[in-house]
Amino acid sequence: MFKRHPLLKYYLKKIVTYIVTIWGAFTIAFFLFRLMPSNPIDAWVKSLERQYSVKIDRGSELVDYYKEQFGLNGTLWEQYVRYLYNTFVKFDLGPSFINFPTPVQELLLARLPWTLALMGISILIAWVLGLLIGAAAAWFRTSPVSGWLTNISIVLSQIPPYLIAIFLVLFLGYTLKLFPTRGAWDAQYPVGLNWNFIQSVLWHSILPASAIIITSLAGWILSTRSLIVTILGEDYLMYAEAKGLSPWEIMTRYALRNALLPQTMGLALTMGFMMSGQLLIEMLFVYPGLGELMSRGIQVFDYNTMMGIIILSIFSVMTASLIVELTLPVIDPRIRKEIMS
Amino acid sequence: MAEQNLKTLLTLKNLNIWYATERGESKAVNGLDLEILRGEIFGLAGESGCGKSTLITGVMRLTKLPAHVQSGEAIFHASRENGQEQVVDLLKLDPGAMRPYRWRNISYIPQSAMNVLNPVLKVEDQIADVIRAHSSMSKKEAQARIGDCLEMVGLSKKVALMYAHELSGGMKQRVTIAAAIVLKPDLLIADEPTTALDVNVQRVILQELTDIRERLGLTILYVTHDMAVHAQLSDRVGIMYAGGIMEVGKTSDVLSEPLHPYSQALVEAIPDIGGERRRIEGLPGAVPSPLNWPPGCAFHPRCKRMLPICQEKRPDLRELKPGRLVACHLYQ
Repeated sequence: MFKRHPLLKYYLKKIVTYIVTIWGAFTIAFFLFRLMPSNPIDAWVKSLERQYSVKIDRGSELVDYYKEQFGLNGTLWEQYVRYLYNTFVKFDLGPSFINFPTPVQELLLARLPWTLALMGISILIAWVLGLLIGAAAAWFRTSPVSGWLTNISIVLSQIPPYLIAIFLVLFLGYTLKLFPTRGAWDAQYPVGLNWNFIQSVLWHSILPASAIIITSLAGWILSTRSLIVTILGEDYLMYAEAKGLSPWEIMTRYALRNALLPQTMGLALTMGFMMSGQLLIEMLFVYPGLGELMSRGIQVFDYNTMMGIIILSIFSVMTASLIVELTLPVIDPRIRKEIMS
Repeated sequence: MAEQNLKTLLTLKNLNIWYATERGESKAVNGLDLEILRGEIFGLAGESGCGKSTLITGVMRLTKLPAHVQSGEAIFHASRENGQEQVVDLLKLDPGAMRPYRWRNISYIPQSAMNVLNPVLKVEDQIADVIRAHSSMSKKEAQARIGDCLEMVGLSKKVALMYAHELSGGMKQRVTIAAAIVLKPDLLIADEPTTALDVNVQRVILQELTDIRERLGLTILYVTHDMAVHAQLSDRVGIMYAGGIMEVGKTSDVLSEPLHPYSQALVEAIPDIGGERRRIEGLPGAVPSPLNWPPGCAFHPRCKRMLPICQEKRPDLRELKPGRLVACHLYQ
């Protein structure tokens, strides 16, 4: 059957790889967390002892009860099997410690839209702008403007996003007081689909979004420019010019079209990575996204919340690359041919 | 081909195309004169590095820096849709004004077809876009024309729906020939289109080119260093050396009785099948550098019959007898 359907074989192979990789990453993450020298209950007990100068019995029923609640009872192996079963069969990530007893999946669902919207829209804006500016920079590559643009992009792409975020907070937020620097909306407006609230959300997102756009835009400009400069040197570009096609047609159907393929793949992969969030940017702006949740979870050894976020990002990175791999043969005739032969 | 009354199609006058290098101007095409007549296959012969490809990109206005057209004229007699002839100097047109002449009047078969097709477009789309750019043909007519042209070069109509990676090297080369004739241009420039192919395919493609010329009445400028190809294909042949034309004449005349000492050495180097076995005499010395051509006749340091004047004055390309031009002091 596979002999006659090489595409089917390809798809099956990719899906199996997808499942195995997710399981592998899940397992590694699980054991890495358990390797930490503490767990949420012990850490909490210790901090209570320190705070109130009392001695708490580590073997008491109360401690055991909470350990059970967090799945910390039994051997490591039992904990693993139970967690694996709860996660993938019951879709239950357990209670969160930072917001006990709210289940982790509920916390994640509440935070997800904020990260998705902020990251997704910023990445998309940066991608479209980067593609257009990069293409123009490649087309006019001999002009000094293009040279300057490239140099500035090289510098920007090497600056970490949080550094730019700090500068934005300092100058535009703190010194000039142009934009708000904390949170995702103004507390005076009721949360919901009303104009004041939406306006407030957009207003609050300008600084964190700019921080993300500025740094990733530079990367897209550079990669698009170098891709298209390479394509402009290809024989088929010279041939297209000899055919007397309009510069616009040469640019779009011949140069950009060939650059679009790798750039779309890049976009899909970046979208996958966004779930792990720009941790530091969200922390800096106290943005109610996953990154900020993660940083709070880390402080109190909240295994369940951290694992929840890790699982979510494993899932989104893997799913994004699966989608890329499944669509590649559909949009690129060369790859289709390679699979078929 | 009737030899008389042929009208001029393209005249190159004192063409100079130089490459700007750190060590000075590299004069790849150096004061070249050439006339191509309507309806002929003109063969341009010359060794590697003599400026053949630079000349072609210059005529097609595809010269890219550091190469630049230093001076010269390329007078082209373009036929317009109303049947009139329009005389233009291709080198004086600005890039936008050159565009209408591309493909409609001058088309091109590249040296290597391996990478000239856009990998993400079907063959048909890549020929259709040139039709759309230069004619008012409907989509249906265009498709029919593309099919006809593919069949004319010995390909199936199905090739139109294929991508470049699905074609062999010979098929790609045929696609470029089909693309080159789709608008029936005045001049088809072929830059060694068969060098990358094996001898069998080469022979078949040359035969197809000859047929196409007969059927469509094209003018072909065929460039190759392969004298055997010229013997088979070209009506007239021009011998190029050091960025200039040394000799022009009917192919049979030049091959049987070369006049210029360089042509003589070139023809001498063609082995005879079944002829007496002999050691082929090479030319002494090496090709001079285009950065610094020898003064006077560029060939004089390697010439067996050099005269004193050869070191001082560059010989003009002069008509020795009707249809026979040679740039050599021996005949002036």
